[in-house]
Amino acid sequence: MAAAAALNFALSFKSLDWLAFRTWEAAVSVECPSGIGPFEPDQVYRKDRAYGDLANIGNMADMRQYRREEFTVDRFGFRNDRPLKDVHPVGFVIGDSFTAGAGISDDDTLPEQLTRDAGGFFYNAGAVTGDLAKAEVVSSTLHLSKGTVVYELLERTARNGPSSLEARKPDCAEQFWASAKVARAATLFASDHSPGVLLSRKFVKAVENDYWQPNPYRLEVARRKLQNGQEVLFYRYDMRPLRDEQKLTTEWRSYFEDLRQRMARRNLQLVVLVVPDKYTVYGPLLEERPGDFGGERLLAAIEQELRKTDIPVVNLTQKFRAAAAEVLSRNQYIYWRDDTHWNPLGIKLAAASLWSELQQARPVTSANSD
Amino acid sequence: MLFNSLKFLFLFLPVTYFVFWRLRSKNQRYMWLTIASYVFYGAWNYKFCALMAFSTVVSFLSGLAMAEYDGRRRKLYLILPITVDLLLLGYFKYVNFGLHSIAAAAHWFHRPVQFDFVDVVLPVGISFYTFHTITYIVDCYRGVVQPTRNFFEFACYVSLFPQLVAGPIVRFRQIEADLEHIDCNRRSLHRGWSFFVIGMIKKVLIADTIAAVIDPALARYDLLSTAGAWLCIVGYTYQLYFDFSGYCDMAVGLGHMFGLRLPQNFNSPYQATDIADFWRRWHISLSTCLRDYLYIPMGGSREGAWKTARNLLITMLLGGLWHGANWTFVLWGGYHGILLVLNRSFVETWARAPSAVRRAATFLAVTLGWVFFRSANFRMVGSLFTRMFQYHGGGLMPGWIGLATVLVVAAALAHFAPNTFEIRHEWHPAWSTAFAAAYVLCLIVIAGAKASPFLYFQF
Repeated sequence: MAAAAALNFALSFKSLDWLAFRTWEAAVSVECPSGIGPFEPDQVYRKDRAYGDLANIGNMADMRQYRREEFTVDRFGFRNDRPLKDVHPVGFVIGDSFTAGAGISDDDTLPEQLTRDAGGFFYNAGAVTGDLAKAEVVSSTLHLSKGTVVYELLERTARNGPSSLEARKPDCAEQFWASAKVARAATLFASDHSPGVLLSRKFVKAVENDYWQPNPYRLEVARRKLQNGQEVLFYRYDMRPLRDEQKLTTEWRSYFEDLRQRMARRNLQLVVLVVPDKYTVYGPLLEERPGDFGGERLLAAIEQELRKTDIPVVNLTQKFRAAAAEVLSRNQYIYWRDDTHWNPLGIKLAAASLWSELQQARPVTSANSD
Repeated sequence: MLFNSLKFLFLFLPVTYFVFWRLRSKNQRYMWLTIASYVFYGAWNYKFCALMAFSTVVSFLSGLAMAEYDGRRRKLYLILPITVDLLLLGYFKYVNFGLHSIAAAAHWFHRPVQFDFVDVVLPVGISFYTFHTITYIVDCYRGVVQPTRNFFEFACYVSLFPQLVAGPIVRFRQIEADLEHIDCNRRSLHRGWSFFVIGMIKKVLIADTIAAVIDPALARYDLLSTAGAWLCIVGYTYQLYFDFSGYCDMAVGLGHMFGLRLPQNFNSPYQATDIADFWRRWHISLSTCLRDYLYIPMGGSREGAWKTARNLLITMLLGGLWHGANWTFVLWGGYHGILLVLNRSFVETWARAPSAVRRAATFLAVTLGWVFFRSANFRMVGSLFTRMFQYHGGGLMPGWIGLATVLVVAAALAHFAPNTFEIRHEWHPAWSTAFAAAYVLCLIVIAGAKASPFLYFQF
């Protein structure tokens, strides 16, 4: 036991990317980071053979799509590999792991793609969840006196409603003991993210392959065949029927009206980017086409409500469906087959659509930031 | 807090151990163990501590009173704490069961009744510590033990964390001498650690591995094939044994670490040659309690065959009910009661059969009894027996290969190997290295998997 504790202690000072299946897991392993962002500041995580969250949850080694990832965190705790003193942001993007870039490298994130399209730097303020308070903190930190705030709203979040964003915030009141870094270094048991615990989980997961031990998470991942004969994984949670569509639409309208007012006080324009879940995009392309796509209706309803209130909005659902169908015959995809997240091709399409809307709403140039 | 949790292994146990052995006086050690035990118990739910404290105070004072009085007043101080304990146990454990049963019976007689069921949480280990206090009070009344005048000693006995939540049921007389000399007992760290590690291996590597496969399969029992049903029940047979005996080994090991010798609770029960032999080997602390405090006071086997049969059945039915508030437990108890009655009737015939046949048949009988014990309701009992004895085709559950592998090991250990009390807990490089490696594997499994509670702690 002493040896186990000592080994855990020694390993606690090393970054956890060697233990994680994806750089995202290493980056979010610090429960209460020391910066304002969701990640521990001034870290770089690398993984030569990263693979998707669904392949990991479902323990489906045959479905893994290996890729190389690099994940850089700046001094504020956001994902950003440019020193801020060298650039002047024209805006920032807030949202969840789709914005922050789970499953992709620094160069491929949505804010990076948008920056290339716009010719002006969009700061990546993506977090584990979107957060109203964080938007204001970010704008203060960046000293942004005018610009654009893009809010990425994922269908899964839309289905859960704005209240789910508050519920998922970690309680970091007691910073010292809650800091996973201290807990990891202290002893084996004090943190779920200690190296010893994570190593043990990898071992147990290897055994839980339905051969030696049943895989308890097997039911959370659905494996389906596409019309091109290839298989794709879905998160079963995303396949559930939609409820309370009207209520959710109303709640999101209020949420974004509030956010727009707050941003307007800071001379920032809000643009909402609505992102469909992978199942909504690829469901129609399955060999056995499912009947109902409640998420599609919800996103369309949210889009309609936001347009009524003159909040610029981009709903990617139809564009993504069309693009997914077009590239499918070439065995290309806009989401990773083994992950819930979009891939660089999908992000590129999203950024292009977003930039097109931004140009119509309010042209953004580096001169605007003055 | 479970024994097989990292918080217990890396925090609670080291701190409790090191402080204990730095204290010198009896009372200091009683108080420290009591405090530690209440912290251990409070980790489940701090409100449970008040209940245990109340039971402790009532029983302690009653014991003192019994030492002071004779005759009817002495009997009053016997009845009072037992009544308090049984009322507590009855309320927390059986009130909703009772109401459900009445409602079901009323429905059966076409006179439906509606009850507001009580929102009550079953305190962990209540069946165990109430038995501790009841046996103490009865033994004081019978003059088997002298009531202790040291409240800390008694509180330490009742709350002792190694045996608090899932046994063994330790009678005061069994631990009295060690408690009396708690300030000069020698620690037996090597023996204690050896028991503890063996228990952990049995629980984590065998019992929990089996549970991981059969629990999800039994959750969908109506879809099991015949082979799957048998595999599940045989798996449960070994899971229950290794889980409970493993836990008890850990409890005994912890006792040794603090200079206390807890009694053996399992003596290779699956090597029994008949059902009476099985009950002399399985959950020994409970079966001897039932014998000494229920069966013998009812008359035992002294009043003829019919009354013996009656006494056996009542004892086993109540023993079954003790395990849980469900009629399936009562059915299981009744099943074993019938087997014991039959055993008494045919003991000589049975003895003439070859030993291997008797062992196999006893094991089969016990295994079939576990169907009742494991089932949540009669429907599940019926479904499992149907699937076991009427052919149902279909595949086996995910992970059956791992299960079969572990079952081979479990069977070899249960049927042929010496038990933990029979082996010599001496330092030997090869064995010690093997156990250390197995213990590290246990730590990995504990850290990497969700904690699975001991099967018996909800009793």
